[in-house]
Amino acid sequence: MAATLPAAGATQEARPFRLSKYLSWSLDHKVIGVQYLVTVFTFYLIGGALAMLIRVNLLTPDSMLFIDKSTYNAVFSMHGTIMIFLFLVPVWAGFGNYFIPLMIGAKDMAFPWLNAFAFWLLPPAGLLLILGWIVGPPQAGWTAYFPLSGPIYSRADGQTLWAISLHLIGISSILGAINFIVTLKNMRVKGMGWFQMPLFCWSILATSIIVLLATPFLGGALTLMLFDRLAGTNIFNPATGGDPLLWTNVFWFYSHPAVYIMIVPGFGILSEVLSVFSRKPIFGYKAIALSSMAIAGLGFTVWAHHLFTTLAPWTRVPFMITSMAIAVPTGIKVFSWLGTIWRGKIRFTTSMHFALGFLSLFVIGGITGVLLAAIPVDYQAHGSYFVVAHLHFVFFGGSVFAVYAAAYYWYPKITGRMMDERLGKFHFWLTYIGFLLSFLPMHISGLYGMPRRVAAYDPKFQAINILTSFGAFLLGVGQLPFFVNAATSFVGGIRAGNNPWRALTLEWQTSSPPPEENFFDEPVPAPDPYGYGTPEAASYLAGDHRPRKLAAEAGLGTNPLMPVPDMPDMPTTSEDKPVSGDR
Amino acid sequence: MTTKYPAPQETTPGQQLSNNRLLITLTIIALSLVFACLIYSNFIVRNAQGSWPPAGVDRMDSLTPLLMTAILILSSGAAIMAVRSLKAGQRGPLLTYLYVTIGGGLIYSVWMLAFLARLLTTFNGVYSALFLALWFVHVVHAVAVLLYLGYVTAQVRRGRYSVAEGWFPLEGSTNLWHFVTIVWIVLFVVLYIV
Repeated sequence: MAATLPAAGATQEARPFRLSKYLSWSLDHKVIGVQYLVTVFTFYLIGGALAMLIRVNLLTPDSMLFIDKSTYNAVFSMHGTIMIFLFLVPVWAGFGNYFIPLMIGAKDMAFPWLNAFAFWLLPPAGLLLILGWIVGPPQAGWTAYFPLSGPIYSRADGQTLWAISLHLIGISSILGAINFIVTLKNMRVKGMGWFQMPLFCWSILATSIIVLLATPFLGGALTLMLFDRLAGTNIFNPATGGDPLLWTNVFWFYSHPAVYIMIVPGFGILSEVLSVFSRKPIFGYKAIALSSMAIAGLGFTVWAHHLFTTLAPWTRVPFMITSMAIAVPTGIKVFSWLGTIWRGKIRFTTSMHFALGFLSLFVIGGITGVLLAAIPVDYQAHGSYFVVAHLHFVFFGGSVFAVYAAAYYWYPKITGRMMDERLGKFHFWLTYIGFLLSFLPMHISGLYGMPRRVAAYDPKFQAINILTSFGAFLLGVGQLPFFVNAATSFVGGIRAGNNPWRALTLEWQTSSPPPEENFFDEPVPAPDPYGYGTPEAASYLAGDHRPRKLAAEAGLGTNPLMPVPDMPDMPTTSEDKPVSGDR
Repeated sequence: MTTKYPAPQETTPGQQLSNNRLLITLTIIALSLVFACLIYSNFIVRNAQGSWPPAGVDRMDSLTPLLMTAILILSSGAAIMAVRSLKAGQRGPLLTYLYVTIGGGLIYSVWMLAFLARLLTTFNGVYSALFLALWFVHVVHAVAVLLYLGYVTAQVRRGRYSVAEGWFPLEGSTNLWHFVTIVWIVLFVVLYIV
């Protein structure tokens, strides 16, 4: 029989939920974090619906849904743009905004006003992009190559609105990155040096550095695109002396680092989740932390592998070498994670399911990435569904799985309620199986020559496309349990208590949800935020470090954050004792 | 009954100053990279032409831009003197130097906007296009920083900022103005001299 958990309100003032707080301007990083998350998940649903339209259209070789194939072009262009710029790039700003100050023991971010301003750029940017459909949607793909995206071939104003919208998103991104860098550098609690910081914080730091250095190039490229489209400058028009490859190079100089913006925080989440649910210290803390920074740096040296088929021959080999080299720090992480879970006491929570799913799918995506880094392979596979398969394995199998791992892990902290584990696992399996059915076959159709971004295709590919589409429908339907779970758990979920996962990082050493100023008293970080299985960790989780006098004065008794009786599938009798052979 | 808990970690004035300085530094880095992108683009497009300016296109007049360079350098000098005056506690000279800084910035901005408007009517292919793009982005940033400087000047007139009270907005806005001036000098060299 499940043990009942004490009500979250037992040791803190009751704070009723007010929807208006989340619909208005707020300087509280927790409110801004939730605003980010709800906004980006809304865009995720829109982008996902567009994907379903794509897959319906591709059930038959003759573009069954879109008689006018330019509409199909618009659908995949918007799908890619929304998923990348309005979901995967800002989602980590959402989790980061909520949890970075908590994880480092700060009251808020360094610049609360800037934080709110950065968020409030996002909804209008998204609306501008989507409402661009009314004036003629962009049809040049999310990559918007010239001359297709220029004023001659994309006369519709939706492409212009696309550029303006991305400008706003870029500014939001840069302001958020500046905030994260300053917060992480200057506002860590006493006792938390750089190498006592949780790995999610390292990943956000690395990501923020990438955003700061790469996004300005997107801004520059978009500015020139706007000049071409609005002022007739023809900077990218070869007929009048311009250079279309200039756009391609500058765009990818941003967009390749952008893929690391989308995945590196996911790496951080993996480190948190795998360690907590293996009850083991993270293997290779410094290796993981520094490899995030290495990826940030190396990520700027590989962009031209997106244009192998247009490069001068002598430039291809260096980019092949750098593109393969960047697999090394990622491989260091993967092996460190495997070392973390090796001989651990695994708790198969939903979050852990998604983390393990990430490991399997991202590795496949990474391997196909290394394959594509080989010039002759890329010559064959460029512009085919093999690339679509690769990018979805890393974006969905990687980033989205990490987002779900983070969501299931941190939902109790944000809302004070546990998500339903059975529904969560149901969500996982529908997602995992649907994803594999949908995207694994794409490797085959790609290698057999099916081009990407086509509304109609050779009939010989129909069987694979039918399989892919049904996998995608399963994947699409499989996302509904997550949203149902999130909604119903918010109202009727078991109360979480402060630390249902018995984690060591600082965000779990306060109430769920945290009070307005984040902590009841001076936050004291664990000596090792990943020291699971050590006597120090057991003592820390028992609350022995808390200043008792302060707690007593606050009317909380000697142990204000009392240990939470655990749920039946998380026995505690031996979990905090050292596992034999480990430290 | 609500229980009041002690707030952890109030941000000290020293920490806030450190935060603000890092904010301005990172902002300048990001904005520099925007201009780096535009300067790179300029050279790529230039190299695609046979000659520069392209055949049949007259070279742009550089005399007035040279005068604007001098005005911007003077205005940056005045900004430096403004900061020194504040540190010396001389509020009269502080205001005067701020007016000189803003005045120089306004002369530049008005001239540049008029130049760009004229350029739109005498367009001459990619040569004009690059001037239009680079100068427009520059003047937009110059106007934004001038607005910030205007706000700071208004606060100085109300008696705000001193060594005792703190004066970061003056430091931040004048540093951003130096950034605007330095970018102008680089763009001038790239567009008129190289």
